[in-house]
Amino acid sequence: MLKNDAGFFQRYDFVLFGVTMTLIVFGIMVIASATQGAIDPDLISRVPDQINYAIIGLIAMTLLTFFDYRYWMGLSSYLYLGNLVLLGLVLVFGVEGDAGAQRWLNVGIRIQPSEIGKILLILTLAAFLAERYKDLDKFSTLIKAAIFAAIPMGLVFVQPNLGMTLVYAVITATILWGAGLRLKHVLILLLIGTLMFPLVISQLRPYQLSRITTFLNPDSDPDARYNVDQAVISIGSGGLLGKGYTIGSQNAGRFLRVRHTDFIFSVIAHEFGMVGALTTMGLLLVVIMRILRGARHAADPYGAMICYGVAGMIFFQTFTSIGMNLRLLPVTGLTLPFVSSGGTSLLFTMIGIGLVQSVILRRRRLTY
Amino acid sequence: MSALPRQEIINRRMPIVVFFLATISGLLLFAVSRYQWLPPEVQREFLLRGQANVSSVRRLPAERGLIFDRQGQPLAFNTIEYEIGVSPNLITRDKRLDVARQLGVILQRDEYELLQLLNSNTSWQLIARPVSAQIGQQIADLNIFGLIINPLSKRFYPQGELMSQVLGFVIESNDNTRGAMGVEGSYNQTLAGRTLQEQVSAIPFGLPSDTKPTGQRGMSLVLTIDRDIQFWVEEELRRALEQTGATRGTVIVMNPRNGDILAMASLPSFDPNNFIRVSDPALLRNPAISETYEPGSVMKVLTIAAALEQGVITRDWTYNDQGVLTVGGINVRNWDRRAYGLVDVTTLLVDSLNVGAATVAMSMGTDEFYSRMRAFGIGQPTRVDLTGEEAGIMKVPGDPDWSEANLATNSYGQGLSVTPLQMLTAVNAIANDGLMMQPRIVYQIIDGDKVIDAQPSALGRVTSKQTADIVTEMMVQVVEREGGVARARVNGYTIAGKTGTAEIPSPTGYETGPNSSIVTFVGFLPADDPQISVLIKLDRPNEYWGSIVAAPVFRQVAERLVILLGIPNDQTRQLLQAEGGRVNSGGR
Repeated sequence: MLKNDAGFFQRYDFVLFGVTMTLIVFGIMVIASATQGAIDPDLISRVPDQINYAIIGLIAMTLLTFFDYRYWMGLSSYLYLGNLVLLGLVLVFGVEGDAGAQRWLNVGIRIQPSEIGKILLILTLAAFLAERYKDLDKFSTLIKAAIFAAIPMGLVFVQPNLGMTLVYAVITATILWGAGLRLKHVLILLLIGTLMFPLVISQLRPYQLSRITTFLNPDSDPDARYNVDQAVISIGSGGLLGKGYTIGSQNAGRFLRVRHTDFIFSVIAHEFGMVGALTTMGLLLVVIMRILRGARHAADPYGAMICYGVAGMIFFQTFTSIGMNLRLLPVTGLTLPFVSSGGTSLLFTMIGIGLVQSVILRRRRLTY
Repeated sequence: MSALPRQEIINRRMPIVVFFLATISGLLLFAVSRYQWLPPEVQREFLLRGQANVSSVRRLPAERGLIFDRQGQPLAFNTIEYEIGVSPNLITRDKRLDVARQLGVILQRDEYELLQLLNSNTSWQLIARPVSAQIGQQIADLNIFGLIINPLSKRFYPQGELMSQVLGFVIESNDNTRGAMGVEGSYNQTLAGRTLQEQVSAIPFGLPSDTKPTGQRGMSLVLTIDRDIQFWVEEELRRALEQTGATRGTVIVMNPRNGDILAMASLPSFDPNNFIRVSDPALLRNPAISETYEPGSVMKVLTIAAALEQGVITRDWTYNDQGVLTVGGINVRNWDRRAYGLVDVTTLLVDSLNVGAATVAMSMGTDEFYSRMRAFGIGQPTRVDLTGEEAGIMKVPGDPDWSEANLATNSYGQGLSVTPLQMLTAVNAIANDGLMMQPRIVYQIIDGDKVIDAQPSALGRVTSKQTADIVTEMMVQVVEREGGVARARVNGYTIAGKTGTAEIPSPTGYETGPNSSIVTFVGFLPADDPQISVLIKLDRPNEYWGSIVAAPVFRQVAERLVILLGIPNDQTRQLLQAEGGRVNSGGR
């Protein structure tokens, strides 16, 4: 299976695996704290769900590690079609989640196709570009790639899910960047994106707009401001070492809302203090750096682009989730990778790591 | 796979990616760390806001002490009422009509009105307050999530209107529940206990701090009042008002030996359970201590006692009654305007001669008369442990509108005012061998397991025992002698007493015409070993004279009392004394 001479143990990225698993276990701990004493059945099931998905994720990650990522290239067109079908099904049969957005599909368990779509976008866009690798300097290739990515992105946007649309955009941008596109082309794409901005704003739902106006003018909606205020109070009163696991008053007292997902970083900062918050951020940074290291040593552009895509996805979600908790960014509802409660999100982020490990296992022989 | 040049591009771009990542990470790290180096006042603000979320201060009022009569019968205790509230957001929209319907049945209110309350956009909405324990329980039994049922303490007076003016009432409010009037007012601090301030966790579903504070409960009171005596006294008073046509009346029963008030009744009264509905606030006052009147001839008892004690007259002193005496420009006349000729002191009292009283006062002199009246407590409050006591008015030489004529009129109880309790306390001194006792309403204070007995105390000696005995003998003659107050006699018992009839002052002199007097009778028995003393006071009866109106009421009350208190008649007592036994005084 492995083409390279060096053995598995020399190639497999144990640091990436270890840090990822540490974050997941820590995340389950924090979710347990955030949902302690819950009476809502949805909240009660959060910890067992997260554990189940982590186990499934671990299996999927391991399988994908040993499965040669290059086979996915051949399946690319089916994957792309499957992605569009899944996202299309949400629009037809979607189940309403928070704030009236149709994001879930109910197939016995509730799954969030846009989370699956992230990985599918990475695999298919990377394949699309890898097939046209020789024509990458052509502007027409860039336009085709942009349209290729824009279709699933548009389906997510009309769900509507602004945060996830941005994740798709960032994934697209990082893959294009990682493909080694001309700087001129990247700038043109950036310009088009900027010009699209007013169009995007005009299509936003009231609750999405209110999040942005609340962020820009916090006094406009006291109720919407409450969540962010409580997040800041939580972080501010956490101190250096925190209030202690499960006994943080802001968390145990349920003054933080959606604390197991959107505001989980506040719970960490509140109960584990600045030390806990910085450690979490450090571990996520290590994950991103290890994935970028994988991209650098990838055996082929396809593998490199997969790594870029996964890195971009994890980075953007980390940045927006923490930034939102710190009142630096508007509320988006994006999860903190590995840590926040959310089965589909956790599973497919782990699948992303599995793909990256597969790339790393099959890297070029390093020349020192 | 070829295209290494492009791979080179990618690799050359890597530092840019790392730089970008480092910048963003640095920004976030800074944003998080910033909280550690905030100015102290901002950090304090964070801590305060965090704590404000977590806890608040709640006032924990102590349970108010109870009130019992001297037999241990409850006169005031605490019951629970309920306040029904709702958290509308905890009841889903489709269930609200059903909830409103169920509540409407129990509360007997319009269900659509209730539905509007359930639809209100607040975190808490009041539905009803107060509701009885029974209704509160019915609502609790519905077991509807989102309804909030809070207990409220409610003072309850099981005896209803009985002795309402003595008990007072409790004004209940969220942060300042306090007793008003009566014992509830005067002993408010004792009954209320300490209100504790407690830090309360605001964390929902958090464990409540279960430490019930100890030692803060209010103390309970045992009154000197005997509920049974009070009941019969009020019954007799009620009947007296019907029979005599009097508009109001007061009866006080005391033990002259120790100052205990055994009954203190005034009609009309009110229901302390419903004091809010009382239309005339004056009804809430206790006339026995708050209303002054001109005592009339009862005052002659004090005048004679003072003169005897001073020594200006003796038991055998006589004077020549000419039917009129001119003092300070006014003419003092007897009640029947007759001239009685040569009379002794006893006859002076029996026939209640104003001319005689004035003559005695004149011979005492102003200084002696007023200082001795003051010793009897006239013009000063008795300091009984009830709120709202009046002092009465006695003008003395030196006051701007005092004249020598006052000395004469005061000697037979006009031109000055007293409260009923003041008058009875003074006469009690005669009954108690000249020692005047402090009137009191509280017998014991119960503080948890401790029982504190209130000790009787003396206000002072106003006459010697000999003087008291002489005056008592004269008061016996007032009742027993041929032509005396026969209506006050109680078969088998020797009564000492004195009637009083006073005119009612008005801005233009004294009122005239029918129903224009205040009649009183003060008496005690058995005369040779007084165990109870009684004051009867009736306002504006149809008949004018106290001897006709008040004396029969005294008899009826006294006949009840000797049975209730088990006071043996004179014959029995003499037999007992002959055997060496003795009857204890001091109530049941």
